[in-house]
Amino acid sequence: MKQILDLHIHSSYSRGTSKNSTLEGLYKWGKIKGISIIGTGDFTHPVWFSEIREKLEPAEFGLFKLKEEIASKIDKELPFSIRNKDIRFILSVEISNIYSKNERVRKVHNLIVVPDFVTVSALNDQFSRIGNIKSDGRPILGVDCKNLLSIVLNINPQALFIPAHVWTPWFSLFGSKSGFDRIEEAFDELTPEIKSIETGLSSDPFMNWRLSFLDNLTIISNSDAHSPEKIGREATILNCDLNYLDIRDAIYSNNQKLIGTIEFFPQEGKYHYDGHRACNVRFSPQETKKMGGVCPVCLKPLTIGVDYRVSELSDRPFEYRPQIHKSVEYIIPLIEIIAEVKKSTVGSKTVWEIYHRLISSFGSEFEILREIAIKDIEKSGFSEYSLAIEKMRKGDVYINPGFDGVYGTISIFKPEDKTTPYCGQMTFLK
Amino acid sequence: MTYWEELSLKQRKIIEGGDGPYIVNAGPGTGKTKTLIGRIAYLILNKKVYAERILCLTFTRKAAFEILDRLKLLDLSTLPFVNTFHGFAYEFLIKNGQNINLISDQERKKILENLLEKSNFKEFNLNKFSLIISNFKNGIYEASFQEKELIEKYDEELLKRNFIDFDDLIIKFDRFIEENKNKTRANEMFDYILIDEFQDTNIFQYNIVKKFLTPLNNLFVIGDPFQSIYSFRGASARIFDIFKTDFPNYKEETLDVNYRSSKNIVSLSNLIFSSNISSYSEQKGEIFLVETYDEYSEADFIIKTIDEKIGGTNLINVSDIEKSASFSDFAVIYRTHSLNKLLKKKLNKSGFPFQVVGEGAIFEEKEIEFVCLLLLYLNDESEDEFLRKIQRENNKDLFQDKLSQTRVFLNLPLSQLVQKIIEIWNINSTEDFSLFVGNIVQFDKDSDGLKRFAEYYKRLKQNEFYDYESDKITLLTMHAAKGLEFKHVFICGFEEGLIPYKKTGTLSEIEEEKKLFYVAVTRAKEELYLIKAINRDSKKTKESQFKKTIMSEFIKEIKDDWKKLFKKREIQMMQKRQMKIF
Repeated sequence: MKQILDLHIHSSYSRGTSKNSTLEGLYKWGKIKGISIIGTGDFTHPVWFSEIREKLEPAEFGLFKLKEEIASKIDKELPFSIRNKDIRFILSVEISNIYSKNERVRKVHNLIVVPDFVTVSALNDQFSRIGNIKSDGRPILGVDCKNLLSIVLNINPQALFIPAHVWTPWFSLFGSKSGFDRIEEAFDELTPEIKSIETGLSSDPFMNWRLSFLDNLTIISNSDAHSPEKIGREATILNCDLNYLDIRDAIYSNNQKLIGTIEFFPQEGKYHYDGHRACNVRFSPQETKKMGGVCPVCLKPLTIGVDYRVSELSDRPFEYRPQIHKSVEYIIPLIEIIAEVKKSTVGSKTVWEIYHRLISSFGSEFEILREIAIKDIEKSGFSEYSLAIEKMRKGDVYINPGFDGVYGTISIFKPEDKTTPYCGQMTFLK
Repeated sequence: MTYWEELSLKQRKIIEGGDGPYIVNAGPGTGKTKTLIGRIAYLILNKKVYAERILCLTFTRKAAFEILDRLKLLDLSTLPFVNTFHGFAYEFLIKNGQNINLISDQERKKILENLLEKSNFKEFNLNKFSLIISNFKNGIYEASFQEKELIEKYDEELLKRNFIDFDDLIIKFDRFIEENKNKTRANEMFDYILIDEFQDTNIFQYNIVKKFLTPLNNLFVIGDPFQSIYSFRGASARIFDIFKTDFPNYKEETLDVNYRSSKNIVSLSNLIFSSNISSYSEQKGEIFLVETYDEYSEADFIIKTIDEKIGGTNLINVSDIEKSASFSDFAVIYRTHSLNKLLKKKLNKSGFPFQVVGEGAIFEEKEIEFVCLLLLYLNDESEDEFLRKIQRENNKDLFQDKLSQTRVFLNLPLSQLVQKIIEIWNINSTEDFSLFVGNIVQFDKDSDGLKRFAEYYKRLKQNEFYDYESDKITLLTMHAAKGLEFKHVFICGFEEGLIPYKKTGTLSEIEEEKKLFYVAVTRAKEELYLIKAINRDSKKTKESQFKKTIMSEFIKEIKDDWKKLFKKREIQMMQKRQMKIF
C-alpha cells in the first residue's frame, strides 16, 4: 500500500512555531495534504510527550492514531472528499547537537524516530541529564552526534537515526559553516549505522547523487514544518504496510518499498546559489569558480551557497543522473499555484476559498498535485489551475535561484520582468 | 615518550630534589597536579620506593581520583595511598579494627533540621549551624553556652543512631593514634608524605599527619598561599610558616610559569597580590570590564556572548566563527549562590545546556523527591526514609489512609501508579514533574516496574544524578571554582558588597575575599569578563574596591546600550499589556 510519510515536523513547543501545531492540527492537515504517516516531532518535550500519551493510542506496531473521540470531532468539519483517510503518527524528534570536534564548532541536526513510549521515556531520561529538554521542542544537546547515535542505539536498536537537512549551511552534517566533509568525520566507527539522510528543502536527490560516497544511503524527504499547513511540502513515498518495522526496513534498506521522494524546488532556498545580496550579484557554482569566488562589484568573497558546497564535495559532474533511481517529484504547494494564477497572495481569502473548493471536489492536495487526471480537473471548471498543475508536473517552470539570504522564486508562468540579478534566467527541466 | 619529557626544568628539579621537608609554592595554572603526580611517579619508578610507603593527601575526592587515574596510566604494579584526609583517617581506623559508622550528608542534614526547628535558635540556618559544630569539634571555634547545648543534643542524636560525623572521625583518629602511640608499628609510618592544596589544610589535620612521618621527614607540601580560601574551616596560609618553624631545614621552590592563562589574564592576576608569575602562552587573551544596567541585562549579556561564541544556536542569529567553542568552555562564577537564580531562569529559557555545581537534579525537587521516596517505600518497606519525611513534616494526617489507597494501584504500570499518587496525595504537578513522569514511562513495560525504578533511582543517586559526559555551561561559586579551568569566564557581580562580600570589613577578611577573587580570575584561559550591574535588586550598586587594583591598559570596557535596552523593555511591557486586553 502506498504511504506518504513526513517524519520531521515541529510542535508548538519548538521555537518559532505556530500555536496550531497540535496533534489535532497535524491530524487535520495530514488529511488535507494527503499524508498517511506523520511524525509527532518534539517527543523530548515533557509537556508535548504527555499530550502524545494522552491523545494518541497504539495502532499498528510502532504507529499511533488520534483517539476516536478527538478525531471524530475534527472529521466532522472536513470535506467528504478527504474525511475517511487514515492518519497515523510516528514518534519523532529533531536534536540540535552543538559541540566541538577537531578544533571546530559543529552544529548538526539529527532526526530520531522510535517505535514506542518506553524508548521515548528512556531517551528523555538520558537527555534530561545531558541538557535542557524543557525549553525547546528541538533541544540543544552539547553532545557529539556520534555519542548521540550510540545512546540511541543502546536504548533501542530499532530506532531510526537520520541526519537532518544535510546541506543547510549552519546546522547540518555537510553544512559549509559548521558541518563535516564526510560522514566518517562525524560518526567515525559508527558510520555504518548511518543508513539514510534527509535532503532538506535546500537540496534534492539529484544533488546528493553527485556524491558517490552517498550511493549506499537512502535519501528521504520531510517537511521540517513549523506550522501544520506546511507539512508535506517535502515527503517520502513508500509502498509498505502500516507498521513501524516495514517503514524502517524501507528506509534502512532502500529496497523496492521505498518509491521515492516529493521535493521542493531546491533553488527556492535562501542559499542555493552564491552571491552578494547588497551588490545584487548571483552566481552559479561554475560562475563563482570562474570569478575565483570574488564578487565583481565589491571584490570581496562571495557568500557561498548549497549548490557550491555540493560541487565542492562531489565527485560527479553537475549533469550526473544515475541510470536507475528512485522517483523524484517536484511540487509547488497548491496554495502558491492558486495565488499565482489569481495574481494574489497566499494569505488572500479568495485564494483559500479556491483551495477549499479544489480539495472538496478532488480530494487531498497530493492527489490534486500528483494523481488526478489533468482533464478531470479541467472538466470540472478549473481549467486555469489544470494548466498550471500540468506545467508543474512537467517541471515546466521559471526558476530564480535564491542566494545570500534571498529566497529563490519558482513561477509557473513567465514572471514579469523585475530587477533580475546579475545573471541569466534559467529554465528547469529535469 | 616518558613522563618527564613533558615537564619544565623547574618542575623536574622539584620532582627529583623533593626529599626532606619541602615546600612548593605553585601559583594558578603552574602545573601543580602534574608536578605532584610526577613526584610520586619519580619516587616509585626511579627511586624504587615501594608504593605502600607513600601517602598522598588531597583536598577533594575528585582530586584523589584524578591523581590515581593518571598514575594508572604509568603501569605501576601497585598504587600509593592517595585519598583525602578524611578518607585516610577512615581507612586507617577500619584497618585497625575500629568500627566506624559514618553518617551520610542527608541524614545529618535531617538531624540538624530537626534540632533547629525545636530550638529557639532562629538566627542561624542549617549551613551555619553545621559549620559551627564542625569548627567547634576541630577546636577552632569558641561556642557559646547555648550553642554548646545544641551541639550536645546533636551528639546525642548521633549516638542514638550509632553514627559518627566527619569531625568525630578526625577526633577519633587523633585519639586512637595517641592511645596507641607506643604500639604504633613502623610499617604504619610513611617514608614519603605529600600534601596537595597545603594552604587549605588546617593545623589539626597537619599535626596528625606529622605523626605518620618517619625520621627522614620526607614531607612534601604543595599549594598556593594566595589561594587559601577556607579560613572559615580553620585553614590559613599561615600553615606555611608553621611548617617552616617545625622544619627549619626545609627547602622551598616556586612554580611561577602559568601554562593555563593567556598573557593579559596572568598580568591582571599579578596585580592582585603583586605577584610575579609569568605566562607561558603566546596568546594575549582578552579581559573585559562590562557594565550592564541591572542583573537582567547581566544575564542577557552572558547568554548573548555565549551565543555569539558558539556562532548562534538558531537561524536568527547565526554567524561565522573561526574558533572552536563548546558549551563546557564557559563558566559563570559568582561569590554567592543567590546570584544564580535569575541566570538559571534565563538560561533555562535559552535552551542552552548548563549545570549548577553543587546543585541537585530534578530528583531533588520537593514534589519529585516525595514521590520517589514513596515509591521506594512501596517497593520495600525497609526503605523508610519516606516515613521519616512524613513525620518530620507533620504530615501525618490521613497518611495511613492514603498509603492504603495507594497500595490498591500497585499493579498498574508505573507511570499510571504515579498518576494515582498525584491524585491521592494531592501533588502539585510542575513542568519538572511532567518531565519526571515522562522519564519513568520507560518502566511501564516491566511487570516489576516499581522494583526496577527503585534500582534505577538508587543507581542515579549514587552518581549524584549527574552526568559527567556531556557538554554544558558551568555555573559555580568562587569556592567551587578552585582547581578548575575554562576558556571563557564570566565573573558576575563585580560590585562592592559582592566582591568583596559585604560581611567583610576586617583586614584579614578583605584579604581572603581578595584570594577568592584571585581564584576566580585565574580560572580563565582565554577570556575574562568582569561584570558589574549598575543596579541590582533595584538598588544602585557601588564600584568594587578591587577595581582600582586591577585597572590597567589590558582591560577593555564595554557598556550596555541602555537606550536600546529600555526601548526593548518598553515594547515587551506594551506587548504584555496588549495580551491582557485580549
